[in-house]
Amino acid sequence: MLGKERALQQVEAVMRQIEADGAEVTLKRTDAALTRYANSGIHQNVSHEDLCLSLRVVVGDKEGYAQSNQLDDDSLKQAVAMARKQATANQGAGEVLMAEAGSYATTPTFFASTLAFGAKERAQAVVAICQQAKREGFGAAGAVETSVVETAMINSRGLEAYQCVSEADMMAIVSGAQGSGYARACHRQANQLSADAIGQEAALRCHLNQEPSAVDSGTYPVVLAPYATGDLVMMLAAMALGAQEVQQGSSFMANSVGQQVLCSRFSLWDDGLDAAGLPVLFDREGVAKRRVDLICQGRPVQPVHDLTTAHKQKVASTGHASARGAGSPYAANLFMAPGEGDLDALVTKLGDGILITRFHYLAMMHPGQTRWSGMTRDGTFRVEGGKITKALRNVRFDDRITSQLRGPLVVGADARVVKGFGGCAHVPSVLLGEFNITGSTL
Amino acid sequence: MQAELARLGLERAEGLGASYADVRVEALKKEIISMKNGRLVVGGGFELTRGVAVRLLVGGAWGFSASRGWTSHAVETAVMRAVEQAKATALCQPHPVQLAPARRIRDSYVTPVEEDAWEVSWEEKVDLLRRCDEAMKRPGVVARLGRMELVHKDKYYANSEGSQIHQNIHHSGAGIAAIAVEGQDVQIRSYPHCWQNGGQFAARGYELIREMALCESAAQVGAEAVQLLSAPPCPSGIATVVIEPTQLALQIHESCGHPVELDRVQGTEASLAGTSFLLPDMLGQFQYGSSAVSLTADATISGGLGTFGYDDEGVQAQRVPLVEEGRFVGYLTSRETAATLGMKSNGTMRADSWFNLPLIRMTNINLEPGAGDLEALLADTGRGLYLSTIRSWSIDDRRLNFQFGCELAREIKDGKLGKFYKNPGYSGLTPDFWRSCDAVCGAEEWSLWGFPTCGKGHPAQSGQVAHGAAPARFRNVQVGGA
Repeated sequence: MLGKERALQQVEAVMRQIEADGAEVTLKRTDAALTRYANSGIHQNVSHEDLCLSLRVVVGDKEGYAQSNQLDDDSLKQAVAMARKQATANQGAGEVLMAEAGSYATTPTFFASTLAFGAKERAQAVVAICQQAKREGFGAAGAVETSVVETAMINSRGLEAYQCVSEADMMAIVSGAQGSGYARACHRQANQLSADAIGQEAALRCHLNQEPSAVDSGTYPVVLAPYATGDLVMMLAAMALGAQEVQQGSSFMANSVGQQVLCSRFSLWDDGLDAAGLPVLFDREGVAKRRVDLICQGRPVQPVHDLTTAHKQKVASTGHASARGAGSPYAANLFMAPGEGDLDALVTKLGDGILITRFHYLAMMHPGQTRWSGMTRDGTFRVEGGKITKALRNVRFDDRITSQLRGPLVVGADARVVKGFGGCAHVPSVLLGEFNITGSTL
Repeated sequence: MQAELARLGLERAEGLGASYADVRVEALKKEIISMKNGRLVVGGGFELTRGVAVRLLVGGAWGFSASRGWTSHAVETAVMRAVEQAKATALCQPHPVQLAPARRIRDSYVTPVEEDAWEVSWEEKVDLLRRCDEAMKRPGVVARLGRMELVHKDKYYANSEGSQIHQNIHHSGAGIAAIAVEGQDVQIRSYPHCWQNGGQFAARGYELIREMALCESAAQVGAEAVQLLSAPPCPSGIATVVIEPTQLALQIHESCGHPVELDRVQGTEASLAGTSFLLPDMLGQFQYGSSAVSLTADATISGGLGTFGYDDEGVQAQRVPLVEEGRFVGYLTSRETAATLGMKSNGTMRADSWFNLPLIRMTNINLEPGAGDLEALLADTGRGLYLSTIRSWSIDDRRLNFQFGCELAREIKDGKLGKFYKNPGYSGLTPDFWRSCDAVCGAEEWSLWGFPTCGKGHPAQSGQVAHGAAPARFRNVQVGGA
C-alpha cells in the first residue's frame, strides 16, 4: 500500500510536471488476488499489482488524456506530451468540467483483515466450501477474491481526494449429477465472510435442484431470491436511472417524476456511503458520494448525474460518473427498501408460481422500454401450495422491468449485498405478480 | 532487456522449486479516440503499460503473479508471489497438472501492416470522426458516436523448456453509430459492425480504417436510425431467415466458439460463464449442424483479430477444424487440457494483457463459405427476413438456449429485400438452429469480423477474436419483435 500521504505526494509531483491551463491527475494502485476452483479443486491462483496514472491536460478549453503505469521521468514526460498533443488538436468544448474542491465522508472503506487474507486463507476457504459440497455428495466450483484499491486524485481547481477500498468476495456453485446451487457474499472486510455458510447455502440449494423438469412458456408469479432481485434493480439502473437517458427522453423516468408508475412498495435509492453496502467515498470525477433517492414508493424522484449531465441541467453532480468514462452516469450502490419476511415467507405467500435464485447472461433488449431478457441458473423451482415441489430446467424470460415492478409486489426483509454490472445492490427477496417466461433450455 | 528479465524470472522460479515456468515481459500501447456528439469523451486518449507475468508449477500446482514495470524487482516480486500462490493451490488440488508436450520455439512474429497507424496524426484521426459526426446529424438523432482504437502489444515469452518468442501484435479498429429517440423508442444503427463492439477490428494497420469508408456511410447510418423509429415491429412467428455476416459472426461466437473451449468443457469456467453441452464423448460423433455447416478455428488467416504467431504457451498458431459438414470434430485446447484427452495443444492460450493469466481463447472461428452470392440466395428464398447487426445477446450457461436481438430486419419478398422492421430478435437451441442451416453464400460474400472484447475468465478478460462468415439461410426460426 502507498497510504494517503505518499499517494497524494505522488500525484502532486506529477501535477508539477504539467504545464497547462488546467490538469487533473489520478493515481490508482491495485493489489488483487483470486483463487478459482472447479471440480472441487483449485485450478487457478493468481495475484497482480499495478498502478494506473491517468492524466487530463487542459489547454484553453481543450482537453487531452493519457494513462501509464510507469512513474519514471521518461514515461511521465511521454504521457504528459501525449495528453498535451491531444489537447492542442482537439476541438474546444466551451467549458471544461472538473470537480471543485470538497470534503469527503469518513465512512470506513478499507480493512486490514482483507489485506491480510492471503493465498493460504483463500485456499482454506475453498477447502471449507468443497467440504460442505462433499458432505452432500456434490462437487464445487467458484472463486475467492480479495482486492485493495487506492485512489488519489488532484486537479487544478483545488480538488484533493484519496480513498482506499478493500473488498473480499466468495462465490460457490455446488453441482450434483443433474443440477446446481449458488451462493455468494462480498464485504469490505474479509473476516466478515464465512466460507462454511457459503458452502452450506450452495449445497442446500443444489440438493433441492436435482432432476429438473421443463416448464411451459407463459406468465407466472415469481419470487426472486436477493441475487435475482439485485440483477433486476441493477439492470433498471443501467437502462433508465442515469440522467443521460432521462435527458434524451428514452427513460421511463423522463416524463413520470412524481407519478405513481411503479408499485408503492418499491423504493430504491443509491448511497455510496452506507456501510451496509460496499461503500466508496467519491466517483471517478472526484465528486463526493451521497444518498440519492431514485424511486420513492413507486414514484420516480430523480436520476443520478455526473458532471456532464449535471452541467446540462444546471444542477450539481450526484457523484455517479461511470467508472469507464464514456458511459451514462450510473447508480452503483443501490439500496431497496425492505418489507417483511424472508425468502421462505415469500415462497409461502407466492402459493403457486416459480422461485428464481439467480439470472444468467442478461441482455438489454430495449432500454427505452426497460425490456430485458436472460436465463435463470443454479436453482429455479416450481412452487405449489406455498412450498417448493420440484426443480425446473433453466428458463428464458423476456419482459419489461417497469411492468414487473408495477405490481402487485411483495418485498422481503432478507436484504444482502449483490454484485454485478460494475456496482452492487443491497436488496431483499421480492415477489413479482407477473414474469414472462418464453421457454426452457435442455 | 525483455529477454534478460525473462531469463532472470526463469532462474528464480527454478531456484524456488518450480518444475515448469513461463515468463511474459510485455508492453501494451493503446490509443483510443472516442467521440460523442462532436466532443471527445473522457476515458479515451493514450495508454502505455508495462509489466511482467510469471506462471509456474510447484509440486504440480499452478501459481501466477504479475507485477508492473520492466525491472528486476518486478520479476522477483512476481516469481515470489507466484510461488506463494502455487503452494496455496497445493492445499486443494486433487491431481498434479500434466502438460502436453510442445516444441521448443525460438522465433519472432510481427503483424503484417501496410500503413502504421501510429504514424497517422491524432489530428487526422479526430478529423475523420468529426466529419462522420457531422454527416450523421439530423432531426431525431440524439447521440452520434464515433470511436477509433489502436493497439500495439510488444510481447516477449520464454519458458523453462527453452522457448523464446518475441511478438509485436498490431490491432486497429473503428466504428460509428447513431441513436435516434422518439418517446421511449430508442433505435440505433451502427457501421460497419455493432456499436457495442466499438466497430470493426482487425490485426491490421490504418489501411483497415481507410477501407471502412466511415464518412461515406455516416449519412446513411443517421438516416436509418431515424427511419427505424417509424418502421413496424418485426413480425413474430416461425420464419425463414437470412443472417448477414456481422450478426452471424456473433452467432458463431456464442454458440460454437465458446462451447468448443476445452477449459469450459472441463468445468473450469463453471463459476462464471458456465460449461458446455459439447462433451468429449460427442467428439467425432455429434451432429452439430447441417451438412452446409463447416466451422474452422484459424489463427493463421491474414488480418484476423484472432491471428498471431504463437500463443501464450509458446505454441504456434494453427488452423483447426471444429465442425466438418455438420459433425463436431474439434476443440480449442491448451497444453493442460489437451493432455487430459491425450492430444497436443492447438495453440489457443492467450492473456488479454500482461497482468492476466492466459486462458483458452477463440482465434478466428469461421463458418466456411458455401456457394453463390446473396442476390441468388435471396431470390431462392422468396419470402422471409434478413437479419442485420448485433443489438443484444444472451445464451444459457451450457450454450444451448440463445436469444439475439438485431438492429434491423428487412423483409424478403419475392426474392428481394424490402421494408425495414425494427426490434427484430430470434431465438433457438444451438444444434437445432445450425441443423436448420440449408445454405451458406460463397467466398465472394465472405467477410471477417473482429470482436475486441470477448469476455471470459475471472478476473475478467477481454479477448481479441474474429469470425468469418458469408450470409447464410436458416429455416423454421422463431423470430419476434416489440
